[in-house]
Amino acid sequence: MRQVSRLTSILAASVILMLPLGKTFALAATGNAQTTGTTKQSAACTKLNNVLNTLNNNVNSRVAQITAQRQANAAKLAQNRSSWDSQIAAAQANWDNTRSQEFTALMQKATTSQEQAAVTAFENSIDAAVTARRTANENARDSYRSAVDAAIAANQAEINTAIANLQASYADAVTAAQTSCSSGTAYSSVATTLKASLQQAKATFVSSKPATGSLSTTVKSLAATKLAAEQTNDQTFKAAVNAAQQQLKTAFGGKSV
Amino acid sequence: MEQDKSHSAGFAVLEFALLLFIIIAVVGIGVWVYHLRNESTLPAAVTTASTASASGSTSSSSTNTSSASQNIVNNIENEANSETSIDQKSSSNEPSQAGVNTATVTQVGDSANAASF
Repeated sequence: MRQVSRLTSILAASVILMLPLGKTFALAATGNAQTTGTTKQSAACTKLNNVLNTLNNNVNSRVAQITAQRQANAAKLAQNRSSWDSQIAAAQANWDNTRSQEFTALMQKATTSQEQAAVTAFENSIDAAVTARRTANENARDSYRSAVDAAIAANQAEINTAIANLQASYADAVTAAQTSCSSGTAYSSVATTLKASLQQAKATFVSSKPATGSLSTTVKSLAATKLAAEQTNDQTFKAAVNAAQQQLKTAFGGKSV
Repeated sequence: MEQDKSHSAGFAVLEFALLLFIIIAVVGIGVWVYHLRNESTLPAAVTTASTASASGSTSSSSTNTSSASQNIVNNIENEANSETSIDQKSSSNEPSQAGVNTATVTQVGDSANAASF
């Protein structure tokens, strides 16, 4: 009887001892399940850390192409202008030489001091008209080139701003996704929102960059303005030349010399 | 007989007067034609010269080929035209050299599809 009572006491004590342990084991099991869920979410959120780097690397490689094109175009533009100036300088030197010989031939036709003075006045008037036309055209060219350079710079700045805004939008979208993910929003939902934000950033970029062909149109318009200025210069020049020729004719008694 | 002699003398006078009239008429018409030709040639030369000058003709083989001053005018107008030609040709190269390829810029936006997540 005593042995039975001892056995009962031992069992009771065992039960009493086991109860807290069971609870502890149960709690530990629940904790493990929660940890597994958090780990999965955390791993998914970690994926977002690389998204911004990938986007930026992609943008940067395309920006490098743009930079290379800009440098190549700037070199072509400089070469075109250098060749342009050389052609004009060579033509002017050639015409100057021809005119000098023609002036000599003209002077030989002057037989009196009055006629010689008239030829000298004619030569001076022609030289002045040529110089005025050249200077005016040079100014028109300079104005045109400055305006083209300014248009190119404005176009580049507009593109650069659009790209910077695109990258800022990417950063905002990824940061928002990371915050959302960390706060426990389902990853699939976070990913859908991020994808939509990136597409929106792309659409904004496309609409904010300079319109296709806008710079080319601007440059063509500037060239037309330059041409109009040169035509006006030519008209002024021809009027001065005709006046000089008329004065010469009068000095020679109406004869053509 | 005397009447015949009188008739002959009258005819001789008439013949002489007729011959004189013909000679005067031929010479007169010749002078008049020469005068007319001179009048029509002079204005034509003047008109050609002034037209070439006003239109900015670049040809040196006009009526005033022998005019040294006209050659000068023609050549400086040639210079002006050649400068305008160089200007137009050179400036027509610039639109394509000014900006980058539009497609290259547009493709920057395609970077939105670069990341997988």
